Amino acid sequence: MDITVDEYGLVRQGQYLVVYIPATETALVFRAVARWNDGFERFDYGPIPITPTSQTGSYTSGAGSVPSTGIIGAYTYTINGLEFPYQSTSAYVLQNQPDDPNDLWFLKRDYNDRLYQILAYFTPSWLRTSIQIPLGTNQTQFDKNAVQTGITSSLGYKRGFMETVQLPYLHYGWLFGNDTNLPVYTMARFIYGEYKVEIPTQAETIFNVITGATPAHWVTLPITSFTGLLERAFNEVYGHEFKGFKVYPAGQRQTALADYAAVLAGLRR
Amino acid sequence: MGELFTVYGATNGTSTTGTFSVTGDIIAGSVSYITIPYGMKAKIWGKRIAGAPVTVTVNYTKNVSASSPSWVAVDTEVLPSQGELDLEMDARPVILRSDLGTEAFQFTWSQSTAGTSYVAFEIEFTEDG
Repeated sequence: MDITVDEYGLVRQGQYLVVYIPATETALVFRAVARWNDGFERFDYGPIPITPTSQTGSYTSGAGSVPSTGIIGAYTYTINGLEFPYQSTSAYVLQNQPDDPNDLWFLKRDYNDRLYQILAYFTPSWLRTSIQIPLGTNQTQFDKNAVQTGITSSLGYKRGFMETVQLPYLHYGWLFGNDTNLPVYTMARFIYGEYKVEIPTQAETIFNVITGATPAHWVTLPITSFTGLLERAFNEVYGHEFKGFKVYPAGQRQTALADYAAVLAGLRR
Repeated sequence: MGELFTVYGATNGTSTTGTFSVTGDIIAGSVSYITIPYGMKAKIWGKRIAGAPVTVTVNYTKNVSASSPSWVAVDTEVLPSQGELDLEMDARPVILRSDLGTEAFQFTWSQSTAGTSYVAFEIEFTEDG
């Protein structure tokens, strides 16, 4: 049994979540203090928010098609990442103005003690999926940065499922592709954890988590270039020049501890 | 992760041969053939044929994008008289692979006397064995 995640694959309360950033070879280490929605993790969102005005391409030729909202046409893929807006239906009641009505996963800047772990399931499950972090930037690559990959390519995508961690003050773009001749009705279902998190205060703890001495659930975000938007978000949410904790080999303990202590001293809490 | 879905169609009642136009709850509109997602398999798990006597054939092509696709019959079912045929193929589904991304299959009918027949197929797109 995996002690870090529950039967859904969500990090258990009290366990560690590591978000790895390939571009910087750093990791953000969080302890899941509490799950805000513990026991209520299911979110049947409804159709994927693709609309006839969405910019699309085709796996064959032309521009692709979106016959109607929520329907992805034959051989069609999205060019721009989609955000999941709050729906203007009676599906749920907004009690307060959301942080961003167009992106329900968006967390505002001062939520540095909060994040979402999102397990996204899409119907039909053969849909190619990928994600842009930040919105508008395709970052999946092969052979380091030799080949841009993604849903338009034959490598570097997933089908029907995505796991990601939503960090504050960033918009993500969700990409979809349908490489069949079937125009299909779509559906998005999320299993999510909304966490109250903390970054450990002890360098020793960070080191133990990163080196694997302390069990943790790792999620790698497809960030192969640390763009200005990412830098701004990390700076404003977590602290000046924060990019995470460098992943040192286990043999460089003293170097790592000194580095982590310096990073921890500059963290905004 | 697989996706199981049902498609259904009918003969037109006037032609003794033809290709079924099929639709289903997941399909917006109808199609005369179904392409298989690149790298995946299509499994046909069940067939229901009802109505007038009819021979129903599953045809498969490696390249549906060719100007004249070459269709090969891979499975045939005969409803010999007015009635209903309900087949579950749990142990031996029809398996069709997509190794190129251009593979497709379709369903055709043949009747000695034109009549209305109905078909439904349980199909799965899967990456599993």
